[in-house]
Amino acid sequence: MQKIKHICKVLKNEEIIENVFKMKILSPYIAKNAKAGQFVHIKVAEGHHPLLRRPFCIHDIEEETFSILYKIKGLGTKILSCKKEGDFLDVLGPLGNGFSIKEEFKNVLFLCGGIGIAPFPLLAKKLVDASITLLYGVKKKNEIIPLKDLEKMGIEILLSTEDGSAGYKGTALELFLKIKRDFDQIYICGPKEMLFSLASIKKETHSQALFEERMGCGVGGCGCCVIRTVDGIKKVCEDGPVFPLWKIKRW
Amino acid sequence: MVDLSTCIGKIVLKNPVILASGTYSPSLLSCDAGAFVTKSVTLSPCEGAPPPRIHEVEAGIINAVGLQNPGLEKFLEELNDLKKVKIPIIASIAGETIKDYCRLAECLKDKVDAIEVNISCPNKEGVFTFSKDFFLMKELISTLRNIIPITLIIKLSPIPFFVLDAVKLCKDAGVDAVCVANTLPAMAVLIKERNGFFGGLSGPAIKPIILRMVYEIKKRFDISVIGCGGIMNWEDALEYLLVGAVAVQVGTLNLVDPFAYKDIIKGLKEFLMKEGIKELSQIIGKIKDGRACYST
Repeated sequence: MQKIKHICKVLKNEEIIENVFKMKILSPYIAKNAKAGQFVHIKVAEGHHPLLRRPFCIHDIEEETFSILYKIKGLGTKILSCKKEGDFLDVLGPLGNGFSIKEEFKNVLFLCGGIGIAPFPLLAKKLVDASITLLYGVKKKNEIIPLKDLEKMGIEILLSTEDGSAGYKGTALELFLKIKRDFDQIYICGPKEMLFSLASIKKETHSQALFEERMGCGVGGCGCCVIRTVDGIKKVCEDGPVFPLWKIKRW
Repeated sequence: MVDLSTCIGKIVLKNPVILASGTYSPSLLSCDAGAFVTKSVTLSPCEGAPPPRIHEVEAGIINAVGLQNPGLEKFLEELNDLKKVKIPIIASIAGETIKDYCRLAECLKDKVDAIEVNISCPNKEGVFTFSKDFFLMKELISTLRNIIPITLIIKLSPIPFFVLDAVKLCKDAGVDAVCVANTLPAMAVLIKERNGFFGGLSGPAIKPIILRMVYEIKKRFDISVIGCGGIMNWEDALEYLLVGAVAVQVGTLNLVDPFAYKDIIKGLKEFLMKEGIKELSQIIGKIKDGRACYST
C-alpha cells in the first residue's frame, strides 16, 4: 500500500502577493512520487478547530521538496499563512489521479483563473517537449501572481483582467473563446463556475480540468466531494481531481 | 499480555474499535480494526444529495451525503473484495419501507458477520421516519429479528428523551446491540449567501451528549451498547467503555486521519497494561455511580 501519511517540515512560507502564499515543504517521498495535478491534504493545526484537513494541489517540486500555492480564504488558510520555517505539518499525499501527459501533446494550452494557476509550474516541467501557451485571467492587475519562472521556461503568456487594468479586458474564458487556436491538449484549472461554463459551451475532447470540491477525508472514504459525469457520480479526491472536461455535467 | 477482545451478540471482535459506516475507504482497510461497517446499502442505487455535502463547524462537521450507494447488486460484488480483509464485516442497511429492509436482510444475513439497521440517517426522510414513528420502528425491528439469525444492531438517532424508549423497544425485540448514535440533525447558516446548510452533526462537539446517552441507557437496560459520537483518541474511547459501551465506533476521526484509529487501539492496550488490567471486559461499565439521571 502506498505510504500516504507524512509529518513534514516547513522550509519556507512566503507571501507572494497580498493574501497569496507559496509554502515550500520538505518531503522526499512526495517530491519523488507526486504527479502534476495531484494534491496534498493538510491538517493545518492540531486540535479540533479547524477539524478537517485542507486540500492543495501540488504547485512545484524541487529536489526533496514540494510547494503549494494558496490564497487566504478562511480559517484553515489563515492558520497556514502563519506557519514558519521549522514548523511541522501533518500531510496526506500525494493524492488523486493527476494530469495525463502523452508524447503526442506537442502544442498545449494552460487555461486558468486566479489561484487556478497553482498546478501549472509542475505540469510545465513534466511536459518536456511541448510548446506551452498560458492563458491566465484575474479580476484586476494587482491579483496577478508573478509568472517569471514560467516565462523563463519559454511559455507564451496571454493575460486577461476583468477590469481591463492589464492585458485583454474580460475573463480568461472570454479570451479563450476569442483566440480560436488549436491545441493538442488543453489543461484547465480555475473556479468551479468557469469549469462548468466551459464544459457546457464547448465539447472539447482534448481537455483535462482540475476540479475542486468541499472535501472530507480526501481518500475516497466519506463520499462528500462528488461530481456528476457521463460515467456516473465520481469522487473528486479519488477518481479526480482531474477529469476530461467533456465528461463533466452540472448536478 | 492484554486481551482487548469484546463480544457483540454472536461476534467476537479482537478489539473494541469499529470503523463507522460511510467514513472509511475500503481501499485503505487493514486487518487491525475491530470491525468494519459498510456504507449503508439500499435496494436500488441511490445518488445522494448534490454537493456540497460537508460543512465544518467548531469541533465538528455537518454532513449531508444522503446515503449515496451503488445499490444491493453492486454492493454484493464489492463485498467479495471486502472479505479479503479478515475482520468482521457489519453490513449497514437502509430503506424506505419495512419490505426494503426485509429484502436486504434476507439477502445479506448469510454473507456478513452482523447487520446494522440504519433507521436514523437525518439526510433521508424515508429512513428517518423509522426513528420518529415508534409503531413503525417496533414493527420493523421485530420483523427483522425474526429474519436475521446473526448479530443484529440497531443504529439509533440521538434524539434525547426518545432514545430511551427506542432502546426499550430494541431490548424487548431481542436485538443484540444498539449503536448510540447516528448524527444529530443540525444546521449552519452562511451569512454571505443568506443560505442554510442542513445535515447531521458529528465530531467532538457531540461527545458529551452521546456519552450521557450511553450512560443513561446502561443505567436502565441490560443491552449491549456500541458508543459512537466524537471519539478522537483512546481517552474518548475509554470514557465510552467506562460508562458501559462494549465497543465504540469512530467516524469523523476517519475523515481527519484514516490511521488514527490504530492509535486508539494502541492507547487502550497501553492503558490497560499500565493499570495491570488483563482484560478489556474488566473496565466496561466501571464508572462510579454519578448524578441522578433525568426522569423518564
